[in-house]
Amino acid sequence: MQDILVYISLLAAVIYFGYRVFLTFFKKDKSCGNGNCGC
Amino acid sequence: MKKLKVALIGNPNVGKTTLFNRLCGVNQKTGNYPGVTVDKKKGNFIHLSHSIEIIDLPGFDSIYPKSLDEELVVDFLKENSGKSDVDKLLFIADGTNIKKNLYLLSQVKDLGYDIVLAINMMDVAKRKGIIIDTEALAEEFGIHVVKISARKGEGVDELKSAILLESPAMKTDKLIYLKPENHMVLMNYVKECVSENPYNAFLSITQENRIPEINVKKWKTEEAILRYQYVRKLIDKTIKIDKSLASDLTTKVDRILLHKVFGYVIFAFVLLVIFQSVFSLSAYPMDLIDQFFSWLSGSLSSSLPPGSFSNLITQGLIPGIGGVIIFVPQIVILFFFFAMLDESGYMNRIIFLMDRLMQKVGMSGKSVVPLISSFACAVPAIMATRTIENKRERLITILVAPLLTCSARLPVYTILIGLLVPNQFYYGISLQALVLLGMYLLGIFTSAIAALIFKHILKNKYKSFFITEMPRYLVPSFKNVLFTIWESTKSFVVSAGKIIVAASIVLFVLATNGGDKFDNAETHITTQYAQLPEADRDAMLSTYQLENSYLGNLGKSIEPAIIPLGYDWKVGIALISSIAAREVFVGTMSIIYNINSEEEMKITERLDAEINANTGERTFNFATCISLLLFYAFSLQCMSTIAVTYKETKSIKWTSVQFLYMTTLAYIVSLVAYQLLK
Repeated sequence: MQDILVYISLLAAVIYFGYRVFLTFFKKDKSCGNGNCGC
Repeated sequence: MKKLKVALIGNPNVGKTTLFNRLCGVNQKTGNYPGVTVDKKKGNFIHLSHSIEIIDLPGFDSIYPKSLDEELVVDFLKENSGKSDVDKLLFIADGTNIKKNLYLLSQVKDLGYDIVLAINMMDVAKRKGIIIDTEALAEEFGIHVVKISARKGEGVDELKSAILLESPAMKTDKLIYLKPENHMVLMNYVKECVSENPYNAFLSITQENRIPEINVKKWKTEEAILRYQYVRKLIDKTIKIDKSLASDLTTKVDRILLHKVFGYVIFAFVLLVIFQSVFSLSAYPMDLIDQFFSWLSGSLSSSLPPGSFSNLITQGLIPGIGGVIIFVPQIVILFFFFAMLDESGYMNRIIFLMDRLMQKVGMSGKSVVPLISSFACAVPAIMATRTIENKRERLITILVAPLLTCSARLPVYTILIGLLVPNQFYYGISLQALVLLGMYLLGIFTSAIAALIFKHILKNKYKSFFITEMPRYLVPSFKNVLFTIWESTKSFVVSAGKIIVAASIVLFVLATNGGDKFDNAETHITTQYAQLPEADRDAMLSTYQLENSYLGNLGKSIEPAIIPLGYDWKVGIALISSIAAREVFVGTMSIIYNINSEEEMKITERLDAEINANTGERTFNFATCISLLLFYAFSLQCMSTIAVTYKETKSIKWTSVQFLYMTTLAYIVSLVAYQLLK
């Protein structure tokens, strides 16, 4: 039983990391300040 | 009786509402913070047989609105440009800080309005030794200029009379906001469209994208640069500051704090006080937090049913979270001081002092604000570079911002400095605080050198100018200081906490599972070391298991690359895991050494007692600690920074350049330091 809980936690952690990677690298930034985004 | 309609406009916080009340005798709510006026208000007064209606509009900073109240004013100005609905604009400026107001004035004047300029707070400006050549200003803009003090009522009658006068002719009527090669495009558009005013046409092109083939962003950027250049020249011509005439306290204090030698000495002293407080005031609460998490872990392991999930909680999650929470007192103290500097007005002086140095390394004062934010976190700092119009300066600022010491480095530095430097005082100065100050100065120094190198690599098209406000010194607001501390601490705990929890779970599973060697560890140790006492065998078993776990194998896989830096595979694990975020280093160390040990000890004590299996010496000896400190000072161990650099530069090239130059620098400097000191 405890092993199953550990693997559920692991799965949740891995999904969380995947979500973070998606958010930081692939999700578009809607607010663009004064329009001076990007060099 | 002749009637006149006058709109009262200006930047926020210049005393518009006070002047409105003074002119119309209305008691509006006034305040010394921006945003008091958020809608149009009307009032009347009679002067020399004229009935004058005043429309008080909200304060705004630019013709490009960023908020709803600013939009209201800009729409009003654009709609009425060239029409007779409003006879005049009464533009109010702050005499103590007129530079920023002149930028807006030049924009509004270009809309073709008849303007009377009221320079307010002249009583305070006089005490500051500020001399404004109102005749030159009047001639330049073709307007009447009156010096007033709305609070005292000085110059208000003269202002009322000036509103009734005809405007003088403007000296120049050039399109100062557009490069000459684009003049023809704009004038052709003026002929075609309904608007007769060139600047109104310019705004409809840039704000409503009326001509698709025009690069609107480029036109807007050029306008900002050309206008700042124009305002700068105008300031040189019309405003003089004679410090010998100044008599107010702020100016007297500024003479010392902004001195070209003492200014920097005092700044260094202020930093030393902050870092000493970070160490000395945080020691007791940090001990309490450490004891609490040790107690929590111990009591839970005895009360929870034995098993892998219980171990995950007591040996993975609690030490991991505790490893981050323990640094909350230091973060609170650091941000308390940062908030005090900001609230008191000293932060603006630091920005001014730094502007002098920034110019020399290819940046300007505009880079200072993002760089100062970098002491909290490089992510908002890199986003804040959007305010820098000059592309080269912006790119340089983005590239060097992560070299400055962010709050995530603080836990790493504290733990390593705690191992490296004894807690001793010399002439009342803590040795540990001095080393921490040294690390912050190292970050500043390296970022300056890196900026200088990038300055020579990257080409420049424009020189940019920086105009900053120098507010009066104020007693910090307790509420604002508390709010800053709360926001910064919450952000540290929540953002680091989420990563730590996820990382602790992954690390724990990787540390407690492995291949055949891991599975057969007990048999191996029992048969090989049957003659040893049971306690020693248990210790050997946990070390052997960790070494042969998936996590151990991961650490060992990079060991050949990090042995020359003085690190073993356990430090290697922390290096790999902290790529997600630097503060994970401490959490990882807590987990690794907690799994490996039966005793309840503080994390610093555990690290201090650790022996390097390769050398047989203390793992965290002098050379290794220096090497690790330098590695974390220079390496880009932060996924979020990499992502935000990519987002802001939209360039894989510059994101890679940043990651590679920082990682290479970190590796080489740590290697040289370890090899020289070992």
